[in-house]
Amino acid sequence: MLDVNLYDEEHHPSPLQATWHEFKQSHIAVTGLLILGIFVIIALLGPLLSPYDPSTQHTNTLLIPPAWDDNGSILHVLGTDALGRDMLTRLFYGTQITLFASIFTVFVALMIGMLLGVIAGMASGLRSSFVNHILDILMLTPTLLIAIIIVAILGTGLTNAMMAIGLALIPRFVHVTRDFVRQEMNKDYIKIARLDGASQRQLFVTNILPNMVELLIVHGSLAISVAILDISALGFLKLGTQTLQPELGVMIAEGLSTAYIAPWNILLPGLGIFLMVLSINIVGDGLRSALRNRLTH
Amino acid sequence: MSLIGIASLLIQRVRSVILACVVLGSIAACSPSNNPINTESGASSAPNGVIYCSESNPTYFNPQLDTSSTTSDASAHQIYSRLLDFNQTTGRIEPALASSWLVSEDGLTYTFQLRRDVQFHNTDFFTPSRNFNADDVIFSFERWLDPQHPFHKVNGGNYPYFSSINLPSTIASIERINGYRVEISLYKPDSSFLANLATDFAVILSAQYGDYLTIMDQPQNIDFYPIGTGPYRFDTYRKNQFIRYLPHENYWRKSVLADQLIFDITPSSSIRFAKLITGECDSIAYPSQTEINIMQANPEIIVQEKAGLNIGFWAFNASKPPFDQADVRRALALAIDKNSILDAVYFNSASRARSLIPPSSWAFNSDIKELNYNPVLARELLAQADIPDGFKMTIWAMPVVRSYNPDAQRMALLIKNYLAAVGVNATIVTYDWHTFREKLSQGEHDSVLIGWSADNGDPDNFYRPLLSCDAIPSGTNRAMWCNQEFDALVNAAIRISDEDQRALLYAKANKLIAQEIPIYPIAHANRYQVKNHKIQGLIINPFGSIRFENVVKNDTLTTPTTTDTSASQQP
Amino acid sequence: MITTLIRYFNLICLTLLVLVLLSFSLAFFFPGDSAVNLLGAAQIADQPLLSQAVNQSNVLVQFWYYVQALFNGQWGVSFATGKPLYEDIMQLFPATLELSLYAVTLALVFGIPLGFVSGLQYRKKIDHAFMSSSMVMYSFPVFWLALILILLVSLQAQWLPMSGRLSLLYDIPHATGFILVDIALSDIANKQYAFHDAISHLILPTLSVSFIAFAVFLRSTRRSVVDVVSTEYIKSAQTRGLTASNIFFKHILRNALLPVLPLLAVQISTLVTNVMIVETIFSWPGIGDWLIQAIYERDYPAIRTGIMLVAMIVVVFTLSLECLSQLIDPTRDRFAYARR
Repeated sequence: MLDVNLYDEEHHPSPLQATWHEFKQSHIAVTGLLILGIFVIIALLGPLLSPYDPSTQHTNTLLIPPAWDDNGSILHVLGTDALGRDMLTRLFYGTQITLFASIFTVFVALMIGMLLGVIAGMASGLRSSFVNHILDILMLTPTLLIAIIIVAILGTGLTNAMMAIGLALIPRFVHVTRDFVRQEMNKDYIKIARLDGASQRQLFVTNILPNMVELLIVHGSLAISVAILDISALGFLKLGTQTLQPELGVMIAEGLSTAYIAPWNILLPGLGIFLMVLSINIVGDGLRSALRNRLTH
Repeated sequence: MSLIGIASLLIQRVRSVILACVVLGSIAACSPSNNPINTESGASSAPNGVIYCSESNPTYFNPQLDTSSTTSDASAHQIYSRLLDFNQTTGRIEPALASSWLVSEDGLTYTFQLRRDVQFHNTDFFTPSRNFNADDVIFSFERWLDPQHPFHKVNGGNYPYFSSINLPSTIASIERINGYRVEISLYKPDSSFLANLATDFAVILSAQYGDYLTIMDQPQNIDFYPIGTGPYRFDTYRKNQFIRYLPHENYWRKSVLADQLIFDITPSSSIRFAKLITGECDSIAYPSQTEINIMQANPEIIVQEKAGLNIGFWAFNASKPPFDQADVRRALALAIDKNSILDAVYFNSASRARSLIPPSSWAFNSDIKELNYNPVLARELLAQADIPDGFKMTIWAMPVVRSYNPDAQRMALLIKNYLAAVGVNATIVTYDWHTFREKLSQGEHDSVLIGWSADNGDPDNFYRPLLSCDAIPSGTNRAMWCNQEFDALVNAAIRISDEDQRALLYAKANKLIAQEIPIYPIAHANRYQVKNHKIQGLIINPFGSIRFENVVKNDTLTTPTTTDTSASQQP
Repeated sequence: MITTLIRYFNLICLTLLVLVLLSFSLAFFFPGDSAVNLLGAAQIADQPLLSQAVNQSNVLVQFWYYVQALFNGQWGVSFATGKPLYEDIMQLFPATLELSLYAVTLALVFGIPLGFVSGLQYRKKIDHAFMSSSMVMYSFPVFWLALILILLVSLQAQWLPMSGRLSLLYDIPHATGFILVDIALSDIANKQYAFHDAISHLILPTLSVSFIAFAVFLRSTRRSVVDVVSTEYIKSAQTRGLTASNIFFKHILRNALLPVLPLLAVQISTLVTNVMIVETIFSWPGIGDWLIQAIYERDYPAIRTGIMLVAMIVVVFTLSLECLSQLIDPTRDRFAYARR
């Protein structure tokens, strides 16, 4: 770096800045973040960017291939599906539904999981093994099984799918939080704060929580990629989002009937899911190694 | 264990071509028929047989009980024979189990001379000790005819085809003259009687098997472990997976039969298509219209086409207000554009339907007045009938593919959009096929997208099953529409045998339907049948279900065009 | 050691009990009559214990009979097939097990050695290549991957079949349920064709499942190798002048493999989900395809039993693996999955 800082030794970057500095070192991670950023923008502005309404059926233009194909049309850049709905528009809306549903699910699961984990970790006497067992069973149960139970009881729908995935994610966060809180509780700085007479609540809010944020971000980001895969898988199996709503997994399931003559109907939504998951994984991985590097330096 | 199995297999076959195939993953290069080792040794290679990919599970193995083509495809012409058959090419009635027949001059008495030396299937669940005779005919007919018959109530006691055409109240008696002669008397002349006996539904069961099951106290097995005189005998059925048939060694006709016949149950149309391409299916049920062009371009696949005797329609439930008003039905019909539906759903493989009857039938009359897309008029009519804006109704879309409607879901989506434009808020309802039809019979729908394929060449086969009052309880009148004038017309039409006079009556009936619109005809679809080029003898059956008699697979045939070697080999 | 065994035994028993209780209570949560949800289409004579369970007024007594009925194979009768669930499941289950077994084996056989390579080449070119390609691999939605394989391998190239376990032309009697074993046991002519056919049916589903598992195994192994290599004792071994191969076989191999074992346990639930999805795509007649069909047809007795069994198997496998790794290395933390 060329900028000269005369008082270099005075400069103490905050932990977040330090992490960001480490993160920036990896080009792959930055690229992943850029791709993810594009997806977030698409998801946020999808309705404004998209040229058509996602459910409008252009009956004159059925199964038009993407524009780069000889038979493609510039009016439908990524082609149309069997009902003549514009693929690009549906991909925008699909990204919105899939991404936001996943983020929301993870957020709720994280909040609940963190709360339970903190309670389990701080109340040292309350190490009820029964609760642990229930959590373990829940954690071991494949998401698809939980989803099947919920669908059987409550019926299909995006909300129910989100509930199933949330239920499967909560134990992860409980474990992470609980273990972290337990470790921290034994550290000296907590003991000092205790000796100073800090209440449990003050301990958590002022001492533990700030240290936990990064950990939760890493685990949360990886959980989002899991949630995206699961929501789209449930949509694909017709156990989640219902047809008519352009969720990416549902779009693949709908594209199946014309998969041979119009493969872009399953390739494009799948590519969307894949890139979204990949970019989140790259960012999550980058964050994780950035954290590790920061701590070792 | 199984890993050891693979290993030992591999060691066994170290020098064979197979190993190279597995290792290289290029299995295509070593299809058994290309393998020189086998042709030299002369040993029979992989087992031979015909695999037909069907679309759904049959409800019974007896078409008497069910009009669904899934049931008759799986049983009517494979397991059973009838007294009479339709010739597959000319469509004329020809002798089957009845070697000849006589009709009395007043048209009231039919005498059938039965074929001798016809054997029933010998299977692992039943061994017959006598050949087919008059008792079997009487047993089979009385089962659906006589409510007192011990087997009448078995498995539901509902014989939808026969009750939809009111056959039980047409037949006065059925008598055994001697072991090989049967006489049937009617109350009134019925010009469609012989045709009805040649339909898929008039199959002949074994009376001896019925007695046996009564003794074993398992009468319900008669429709699940079937015994008949047809070319194939039942072997295994696994729901959602497959049905296996084996050839009937002593079949009464001199026919060529495959070593085995398999129905691979594959509900998804796109998967059936894909399996046809990979060679896992030899022929498939209901090829999707969108894929026909691709199949035509594929040298390994033969596409057969024929104008279909069928009708796809939109039926309104006339027993439910406000659909009991003809004006409301007319308004809804005016709101949709048939032509765009034809494009989007049938992909130009159908002709626009103007009446119940396709143009190829002699009962068709071309001067019928047809409704044209007119949303403005539709709105006016709805307003006159006091239907509020945002009126809610259901469109039931059948979950299966039928030749008369290849994609009811898509059609429903299109119609929903058209209805929204005239202020009607439609929801699409669907269930699995079995539940769907059950709920339809109970009249739970507001409107439904469904259709009908002819079982025989007589126009009566459209009118009475679809719209007569008798067809409401038997569950084929989807409009739940009962009109005395219409019933009188179609009943009069079957009492005379002169085609011109009958055509006049049907013309009146057509006019009545066009006025009342209990159903809105949409399309007469062409019928397609696709098959692997190695399959010989499979032709489109003009009436009713598929026939596998005389259908074989010739494994020695090579690909017709040898230009593209990489894509032409079969796994 | 014995205490560990007893503890895990208790844990497994308790968990199974919870699962049985859960499946019993599902009958009450599912729509419709609880008795119908328990019995399905069963005749009283066929399943006397289960029918008795239904007829009791006290829920606890009902539960007691239910447990007995489960032990006696009276699991109710499927609405959809009309066959006893016990028969259905016994026929389907080996197919699922077979597919999972091959997929896991394949993933392990390639994943662990390559993980070692990557870990030993930490931050070198090979490591980067492996890490980025495995990242790409495990970002694949499994259903999309399976569909692409079908499109390319089955439809375009026409190399491999796309559905089922074996061409229906082969009528192999059901003995063990493992198709390759059954073919070996059967007395059909020209077995090699049947084997050839069965293997060609196996390839695509196995690849789809193991593709993702492979990436995860590779990454876990590599992480663990990296951790071991950076420990003090390896460094001291290096300074003592031990040969590279000596260090690898004596120190790294065992210590790096140990933490991989519990990671396998965590993967089981993901693996089961993936196997179930792949089964539906390849029409593989296993328990996953069957369960998903059951939910489409609202076959509640089938869902209740199927879910219980799959969950039980996952739990037993996972806890046994946990127990095993605890026995081998008692110093480890009990619940390793939190550290992923």
